[in-house]
Parts: sequence; structure tokens; C-alpha cells
Amino acid sequence: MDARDEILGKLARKKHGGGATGISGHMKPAVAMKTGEEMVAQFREKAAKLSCGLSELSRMSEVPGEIERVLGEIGTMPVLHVSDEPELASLPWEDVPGLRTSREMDRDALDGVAALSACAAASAETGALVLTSDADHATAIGYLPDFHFVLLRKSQIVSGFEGIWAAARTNGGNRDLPRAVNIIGGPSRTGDIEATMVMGAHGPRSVHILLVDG
Amino acid sequence: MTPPNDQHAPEMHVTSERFSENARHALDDKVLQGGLFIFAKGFTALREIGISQVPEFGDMRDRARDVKNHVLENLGDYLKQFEERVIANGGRVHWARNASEANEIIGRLCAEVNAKTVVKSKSMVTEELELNPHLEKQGIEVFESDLGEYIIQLRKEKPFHIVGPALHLTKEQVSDTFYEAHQRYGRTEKVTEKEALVREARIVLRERFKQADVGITGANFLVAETGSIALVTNEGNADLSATLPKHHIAVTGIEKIVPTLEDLGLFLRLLPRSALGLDTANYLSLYTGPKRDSDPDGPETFDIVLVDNGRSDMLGSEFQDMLRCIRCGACLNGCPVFTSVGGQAYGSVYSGPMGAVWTPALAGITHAANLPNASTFCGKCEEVCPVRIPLPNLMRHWREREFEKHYTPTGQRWGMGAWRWIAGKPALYRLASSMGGRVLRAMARKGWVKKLPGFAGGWTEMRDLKAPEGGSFLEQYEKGRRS
Ligand code: SF4
Repeated sequence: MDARDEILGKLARKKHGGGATGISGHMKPAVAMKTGEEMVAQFREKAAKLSCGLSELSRMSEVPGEIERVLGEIGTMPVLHVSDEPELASLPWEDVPGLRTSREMDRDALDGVAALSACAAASAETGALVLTSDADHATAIGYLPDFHFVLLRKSQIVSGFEGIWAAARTNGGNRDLPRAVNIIGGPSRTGDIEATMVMGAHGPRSVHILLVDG
Repeated sequence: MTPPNDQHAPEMHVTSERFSENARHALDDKVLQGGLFIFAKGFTALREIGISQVPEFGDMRDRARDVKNHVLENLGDYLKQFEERVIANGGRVHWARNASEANEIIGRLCAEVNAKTVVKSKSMVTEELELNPHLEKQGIEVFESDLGEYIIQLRKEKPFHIVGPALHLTKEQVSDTFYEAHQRYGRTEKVTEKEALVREARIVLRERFKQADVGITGANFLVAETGSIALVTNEGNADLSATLPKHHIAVTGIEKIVPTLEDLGLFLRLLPRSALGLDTANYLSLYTGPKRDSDPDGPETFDIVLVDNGRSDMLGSEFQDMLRCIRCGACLNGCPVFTSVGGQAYGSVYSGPMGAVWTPALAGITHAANLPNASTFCGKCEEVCPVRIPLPNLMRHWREREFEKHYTPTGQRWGMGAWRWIAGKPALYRLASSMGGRVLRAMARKGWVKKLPGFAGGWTEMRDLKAPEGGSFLEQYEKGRRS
């Protein structure tokens, strides 16, 4: 008998007769049930706790200028790799002639650079950002750059995991999910040497959110 | 359980026979004792603070227990549903009765694509299988990418703790290890600071990620409804392993399944809080199938290896409850035995209370008879377990079995008395007395030890806790020892 049949056969024989524990209903903690302004406020607070940077902007057109400003604070980072999402391409990059943009997304191009991507949602429960793979979004953009800027519209903030799954399913087309759903809770870190937290383990050492009204 | 001559019987190599000897040695190891202090006090405090912020935590644990019980009662059905969804999404599912079979499958998948190098993210199941030596025998170079796992791989050790594999080492030891191992990449300068060590590992491993032919990950959860695997990490290495190489293989136990995404949410709420008191891990990721046609990146193949290796034998036995385990490590941190002797004394990749139940089930009680005895039956493990596994009871079952059959060699039997003796000397007291304890006493004077239960969540605070004057606890401790 092959392994699959043998394992499944064994499991079937061991299945308890009748009365399987029911698991109807669902449990959501209060921290995942905020709405409206309260939800946005909790997102800000949680994102800060995860060591994310946050700029609040009232218009999309302010995004390039704000990125230039933040990069200026960090130091030299003359090129910004911009992900293929249409809302990013249409930003007024001509307003910031000092900042060169690149659309290159291969692994060597993204390694250690500054990059900007959009996201699918963000969770007020934890402060994390949700990035999903599709034709316009390479998964590696959340991992290979050193500085990751993420454009987030206020309306994309959801209360908790339940909202994340809904947003991810929409992006996947129907009940299926996109290949990758990455829920990113701030910069990459490790505590593996003497339990001391060090930022920038394998992923970005900085995650900066551009939170835009609307 | 399975007859011993069965070629598909569970397999796991352990050196648990030497537990008592290892334990005595560990008690004298000052550096190790410093590392253990972090788990015993720091992680336990972080957990308590983290969960105190979620009033529903107790109810969530009840529900998690019920969901897992429901899954275990219908395990075959959920696995079939999972398999169907994986295939529908363009992936493949492989079934392995035991370690040899799993290693053979993974070896074959690597050979099919002519793999020269493999990059791995932390997976306890592959440790259980001893996959790395198997692949190396095939001439494949295997790189662990979780920083802690990478360090112990270079040092040829076994993980010290399921969540913090290398926390028994000092930065000087890591520095020596890197200095030796990284010469081949032209890195001849010795780095000693923690930040620099992390940076160096990042630079060296980044190239491995980019060049590896195959990425191997575990899976913290499998979602039956969508055919997805869920990975929970802080470093981002699992995601690079699942994205950059052309081939992704996920290796995991058959018990890791949850029915729906909603259920997954429940476990994602429990796991980081139980492990480190955090609201969330840095990276929670779901992977469903290989790269889609229009995707700019991702692997071309997506293979899942479902490993039984003794799990189906536990089902329906008095050890069934153990299959609910989500590997959070909370029972290790709370255990007076683990926090006295450390993970390596157990001689098994699974240590602490959960290891004392898993190890005999997978390796056979004859090889691990000491472990269920390594308990004071204080009940702390059950108290902290997010899926409410009655660990002391399960250890008791093993003791009964073992006692009936007299598997423990005479002279090696650790009576309850010995463990009461250790537990009667709390880690803090032992540290303060055994090493002169200048640092600890100084810290106690400053009031930080007393403040422990009251500090407010998060890793940053954890660092502050251990670093009242800018260094880690171990540095303070080392300084105290030298002065
Ligand atoms: S037995 Fe419970 S506490 Fe221990 S690792 Fe497993 S889930 Fe966590």
C-alpha cells in the first residue's frame, strides 16, 4: 500500500464514532473589533509599537515629496524602486527631480535599496500591513530592499484578521488566495544573539507607512 | 503502537539516555545558566504581560483546544480537502510514513531539479527527520537561514530551544564561529558586535538565498479550505526561502491542519503571544501554490511533504492531546526542569515538557525513558499551554508505561526527589549564589528585577529589561563574572 493510502486508512480507522466536537461560531477579541476613527487610531498606535515609520498625508500627490524628505533624513539613497501598481506610477514624480525612480524588480536590483509598494490592507488589530502577490506586485519587494515604503489609504484599514482574509480573497479573484499573502509587522528583526533585538535581520531594516486620506 | 520491525515505523534519533549526565553538566555551565534565565524570567514575563492585554485570551484557548480536537477527530477528511486545494492551485502533495520516507521524497525532489544548494528556514520537523545530513550525503549544500539555526548548524549542535535555538551562546562564541565559517566568502575581518554579527550573517545568507536552487520551509499551519501553508517568523527568512528559489518544498507534520482562514486567525492570535508576549510576529505569511502565470516572482514548483512519523499512532491513544501542540515554547519557558538544564540536555530536538511527551512517541520509550521523569509535576506547563494540553498527565502516562516495562536503566532513574531539589532552588537564587551574582544583586538594588512583572509589552522593553546599562543580560553577567 502506498504511504498516502496507508496514512489515510489509519486515520479513518481511528476516527471516533460519532459526536465530533462541533466548532460552530467564531471568536473575535475586542482588540479586533474597532471601527471608524477608533480603528484608525488603534492602527497608528500598534504600527508605532511595531517600529514602523508613519507619515500622514491628505493627498496622494504629496507622496513623492514626503518620500524624498524621509530619504533625505536617512542619508544618501538616490534611487527609489517603485512597484508596478498603477496608483504608484501615476504619482507626480516630476515634482521631485532629485529623486530618481526605477521600475526594476529583479532580485539584484532590489537588494538593499529603497522601494515603494502599495498594499492590500492593514490591520488595526496588530498594526501590520498586508501585501499580496499579483501581476503588479513582486513578493520580494517586501523583503530584499533595506527601506520599504508602503502606500496605505485610510479606507484600506481593517479591524483584524477577518478583514485581512476578506481583502486577500478579493485580490485572489474568488475563494482562492493569491500565491503570497504577507502580513508584515514592521522591520525585520532578530533576537537570536543573546536575546538582544537587532533590526534588519533578513528583511528591510525600515518600514515606513504613507497613510493617505480617503 | 507500531511493531518495531515495521519498516515504516516512526524514526527519530535521540541521545536522551544521557539526560541525567547532561543535566548535571548543564547545571554547572554558567553561560548556559545565564541564557536559561532569559527564558525563565524574561519570556515568561513577556507572555504574561502580552496576554494580560487580551481579556478574551482564556476563551480563545478553550476554542483553540476545541478546534484542534475537532480537526484531530476528522484529520483524514481535512488532509484530503487540503490536498485537493493544493493540487487545484498547481501544487503537489507527498505523504511520508516516517523519517526515511520523508527524506527520500525530499531528496528525490531536489535531485529532479538538479539542486546543488538548498536554503532552509527553521523547521522543527526537518530537525526531527535529520534532513540536512541526508541531503548533504546526496552532495547538496544546505544552508539554514534562521539566524539561530544558522549558528547552530555551523557549530554542529542541536537546537537549544524550539523558539530560540542559539540562545545558550554568547556573542563571543558566535563571533568565533562566524570568523571561521565566513573566511570562504572572503570575509577575513573578525566582527564582534551583535549588530555587526547580524549584518554579516545577512550579507552571507542573502547571496545563498539568491543562488539556492530549492527553498525548504516548514509550515506552522496548513489551511484545509484554501490549500495554503502559513509561516510565522520574525526575520523574513522563510519568505525569502519561499520566494526566491525556483522550487519551494514545505515539510510539515500531518497534525498542523486547521479548517478555515477564520480558524487560522485564532491560532495566529495565540501563537506570538504565547511564545513572546507579542501581538503579532513580524511576518505572518500564507503561500498557496506556485507562481501564477502573471506573477513577477515566486517558485515554479510548490511541493508539500506531509509527515506522519508516529503521529497517527498517537491519534486515538492516551497521547492524542499532544497533537494539538503549536510549538510555541511556552511550556519550556515555564518549566523548572527546562530552565535549569536547557534544551540540549534532553538529547532530542523536542525538549521541555512538550519534548518529554513527543520524544518517546517518536523515538520510542526505550530511548527516551528518562524524559517523562524530568518533571516536578508542578503543572506550570499545562497552565501556560495555549491549546490546553494536559502535559503532566501525559508525562505520567509515559512513566506508568515505562515503569511497567522497566525501561529506565537502574542507577539512572531520576526520582521526583532530584527534581524537587532543583526546582527548590529557583533560577534567580541559583544565579545569585553560584556566580557571586554581583550583577544580579546590583540589578535587584536598582529595582529592575522587582519591576519585571509590571513592564509593558514588546521586545524593545525586553531589551531594556536585560540591558539596564546598554548591554544585554549576558554581557552584564559576563562582566560581573570577570570583575
Ligand atoms: S505543548 Fe502547549 S505550551 Fe508547549 S509548545 Fe506545545 S502548544 Fe506550546
